[in-house]
Amino acid sequence: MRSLLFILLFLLVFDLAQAQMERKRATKNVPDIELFSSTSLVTAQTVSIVPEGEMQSAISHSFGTIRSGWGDLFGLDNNAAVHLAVDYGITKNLSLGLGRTSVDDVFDLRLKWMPYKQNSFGNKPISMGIYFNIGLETLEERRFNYSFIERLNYHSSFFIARKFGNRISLQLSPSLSHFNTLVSQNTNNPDHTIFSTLFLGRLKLNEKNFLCFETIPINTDPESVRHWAFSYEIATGGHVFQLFLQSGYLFTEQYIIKQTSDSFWDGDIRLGFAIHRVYQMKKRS
Amino acid sequence: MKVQKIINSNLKFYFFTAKFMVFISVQVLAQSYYSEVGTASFTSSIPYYEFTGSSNQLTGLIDVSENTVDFYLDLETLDSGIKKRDKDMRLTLETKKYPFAEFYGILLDSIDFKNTQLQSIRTKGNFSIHGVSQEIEVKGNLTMIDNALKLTAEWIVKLDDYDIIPPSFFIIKVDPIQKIYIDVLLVRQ
Repeated sequence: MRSLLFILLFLLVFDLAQAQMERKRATKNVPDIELFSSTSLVTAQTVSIVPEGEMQSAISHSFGTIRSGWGDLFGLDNNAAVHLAVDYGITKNLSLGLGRTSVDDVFDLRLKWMPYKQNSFGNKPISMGIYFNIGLETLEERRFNYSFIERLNYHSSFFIARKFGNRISLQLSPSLSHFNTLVSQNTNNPDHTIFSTLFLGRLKLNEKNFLCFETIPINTDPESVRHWAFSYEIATGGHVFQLFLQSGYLFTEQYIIKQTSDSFWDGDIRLGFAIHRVYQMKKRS
Repeated sequence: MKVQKIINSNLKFYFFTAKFMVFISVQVLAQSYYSEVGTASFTSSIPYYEFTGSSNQLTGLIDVSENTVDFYLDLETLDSGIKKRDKDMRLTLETKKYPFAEFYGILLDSIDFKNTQLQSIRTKGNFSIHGVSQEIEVKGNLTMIDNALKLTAEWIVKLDDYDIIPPSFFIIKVDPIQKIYIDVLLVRQ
């Protein structure tokens, strides 16, 4: 009995001294869940935010309608709307961005705050945040002499999103858009302020390929033509490539809400693409 | 009464044995050097671009009495500076299934503990990552600093050897050869 006890204890100590160290995990599971691959789908901003200390550049193109056929190569020969943008993650929940759209020479400054993010621990079942965008139309207008204030337009959204299971993400964004100045041939006073609700969704095909959609019903004018877009996304380590079909033409929410007159389901569909690229700007500690 | 005596006797023996073993194990551990805040980094490249990922949570143990070297790293602590790239890296390395990169081997050269100059040492053992283990020999540099050993080492990992498929996109492909570098101050236990 004594011998057995001695051998057992000796084996225990010998094992402690000889064996490999016990492997201990240094991290728990990554808590934040990725709901969308990029900060925007086609036009609409998503709940995804540029991480702290990183910068994202994005270039987006939207062409003419494919209805025109071979004559102008399904819209590719028509003037493209181009949006260039950079966004920077100031903190892990706050990002600031600057963009420019080629049509009407519009600069946009935007701020996104995502204080509440769905996590894998289950104590935060949804993501919520707010987004604000201010646009400045700098195109020289021959008919009118606009003041700086008259050239401004705004858009704000409240984001609610959730990832369901491993594949489906949905986002709802009640929004308010406002143009300080509108030009209209109608004698009726146009709506400067528009309430809308953006619906976004993503279906994960595998770790790198996704199908997405976005649509924007106008709450204040339910009869108006609604923007639709469908995109195919490829996400790599530092890039997100998006190919899309959309009815809208421009790349900031307030413009696409106010100026979309083409109907996706009547065949007024445009080809487009976007490339997002992230850069490390600050060494993480 | 007789039963009581036997139990007392066994308890004395047990405590004596336990004390003896604790003494022995302390002596053994006293000859080991340990850290869990070492730095491990890798350098990777794609055409016209090179990036580095690193972690400062490398855990290592050099047991001089047993002549063993034991290092491991939780791969989810690697930070390349871009979160999307980190996520891609975790998917490539399948860190949920294989969370650690580890090396366990023996010292081929003895350490001169009185020498405070840079010493070159070799170690041989198994490096494991992505569920595949390969025997490798690594050369390192070691410096005695008071009660600690400063160790640096670097070696090359061929991803193919460990069944790791380098991420690629069309014609752009991550270099299948990665440089690994470790820098750790192991403190005497």
